Amino acid sequence: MPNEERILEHLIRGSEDLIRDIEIRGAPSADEPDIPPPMASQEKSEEPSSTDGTAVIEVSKDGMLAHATLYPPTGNGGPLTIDVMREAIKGKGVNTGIDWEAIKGSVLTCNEERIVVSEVVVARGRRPRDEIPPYLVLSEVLAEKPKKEQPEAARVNFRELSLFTLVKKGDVLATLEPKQDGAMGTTVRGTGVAFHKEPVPYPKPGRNTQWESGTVIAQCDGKFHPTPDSFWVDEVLEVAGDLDLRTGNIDFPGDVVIKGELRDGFVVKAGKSVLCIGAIGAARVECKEDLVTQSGVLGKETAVLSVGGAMEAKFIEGCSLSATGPVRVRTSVMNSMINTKDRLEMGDRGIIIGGVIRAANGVSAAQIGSERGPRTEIHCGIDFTVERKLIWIRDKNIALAFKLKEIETRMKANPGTRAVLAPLRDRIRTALHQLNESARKLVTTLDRNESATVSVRGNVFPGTYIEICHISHFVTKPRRMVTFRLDKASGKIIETSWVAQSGGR
Amino acid sequence: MAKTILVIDDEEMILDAIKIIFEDMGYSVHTTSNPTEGTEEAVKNDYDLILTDIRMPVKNGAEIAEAVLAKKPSARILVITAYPNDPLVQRAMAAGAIGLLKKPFEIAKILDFLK
Repeated sequence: MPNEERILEHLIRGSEDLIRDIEIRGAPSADEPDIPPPMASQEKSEEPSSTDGTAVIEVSKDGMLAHATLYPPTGNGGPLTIDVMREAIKGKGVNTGIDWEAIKGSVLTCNEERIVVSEVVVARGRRPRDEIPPYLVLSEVLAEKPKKEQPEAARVNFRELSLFTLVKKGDVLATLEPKQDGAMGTTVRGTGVAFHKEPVPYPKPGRNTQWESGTVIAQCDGKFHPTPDSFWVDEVLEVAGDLDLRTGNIDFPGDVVIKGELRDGFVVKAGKSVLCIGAIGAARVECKEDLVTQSGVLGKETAVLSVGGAMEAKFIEGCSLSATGPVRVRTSVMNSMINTKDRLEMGDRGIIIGGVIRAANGVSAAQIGSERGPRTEIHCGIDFTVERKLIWIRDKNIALAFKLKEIETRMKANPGTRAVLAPLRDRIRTALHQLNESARKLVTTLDRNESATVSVRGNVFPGTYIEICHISHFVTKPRRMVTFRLDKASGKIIETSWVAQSGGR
Repeated sequence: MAKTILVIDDEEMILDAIKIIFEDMGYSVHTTSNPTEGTEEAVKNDYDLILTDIRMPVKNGAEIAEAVLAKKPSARILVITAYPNDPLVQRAMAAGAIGLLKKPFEIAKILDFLK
């Protein structure tokens, strides 16, 4: 009897037996206390009539897998045999990758335990292997570390951070992985499956690099720049020792490396990044990209640092810093004005004492303030560059308002001056109005980060002032392990327990 | 109708500047350099925003905030200060002032609180 017909018969008989049983017994009524368990003898006597063991084969849509469901014999039916399986598999056109060991094992289980065995993989096709053209892999020590999606998700591991990777001439920057040949695949029915050509995207070598026997090497000493599309080396201006009277001030269009210290009173301007191995003193630095000091900044209340990218230092003291990117400081920020359009991230034991911090996307630290030290102000959620523009407008408008008042007073006291002063008064009014319109536009377009937080892993001391999106909050009692965030519903800053993942932009 | 601002500050020049600048923006600005008079005015009339200096002779900004808010709890008061950590500022905030402005004043904050 063909396989499918056997299964059908099995199903029909079983169903009829069940219906008959229900008809004989009748449906249990609500007042019937319980249904007596079936007698062992009863069960045996009502065994459905006998069927032979059988199997159903199914082939996946892509033709890469064939599954079987194995049915045991019933009553006095014959066991499921390998021949029955072979017939069922052949019937579905399966002829490749058949796993006879798995089939034999499943047949044995089905017959001996008299259970239905399902989802048995009886045959596997062979998937094609894609052809991969040659591609470049950046040397591991140079490859850019993936950025954390949420800066607050974990503490900053300062040892992993490196904004400034220097390479020597001849250093291997990348290695060529050879072409991987493709290979045809086969379905369980023996049909061939073509392979694809899958190029791996990789950054292309740029300036100051050269090919050398399957590798790309640096053509000169310099700063290594990896991006998803390209990598290259920029020549750097290197100051062998301290930047002082012997070297004078520096104004260089590329990267600058100072192997020693940047001494008090000197100026460094760089079109790209600046790396200072030693400390930065009461100096001025303007760079369009990152500023890194492997030591710290001892600004003596006069250092001014203007950074177009990120800033990294061990400590910052008595300094005025403005950075477009994040500011990462390992140990302490003391009595400094820190402005960043991103975040201020302190190291594991990093403390902030005194000064004014403006960080649009928030602050994380181990401690803010101290028992007897100066008060600390922290402002978050607002772009400091916009605030600076608004302060400039305010100051100009105050000056214009004073002039206007003076002119009006003079015109009132001496009407003879009217002819001369009236046009001037009108011009001042126009200028003031234009500035006001600019201020209004700046305020309405101001990108506020209402989810900016101030997270403190350790202590926050009384006297600390926190402002998020212009909402004020005073810390009046010692606090520990706390996150300050803006509660938009109440329009207040609330304190919640510090957690490693506390949001941010 | 234009939104209204009351400014209480003993520095006449700052009062003049705030009046000129915010009237140009379309607000109605009432100013006084007398803190006692300012307190009475704040209670007598409804203002959308009240700005008061914190350090003034006779009556300080915290006392003004306490007196006004005791009689008019819905009043929205911003205190003007050079030092956010001034204890008088904290006292005014405890009384119900809604925020502080750094001297001489902050345009963005004022506009934010007038929204």
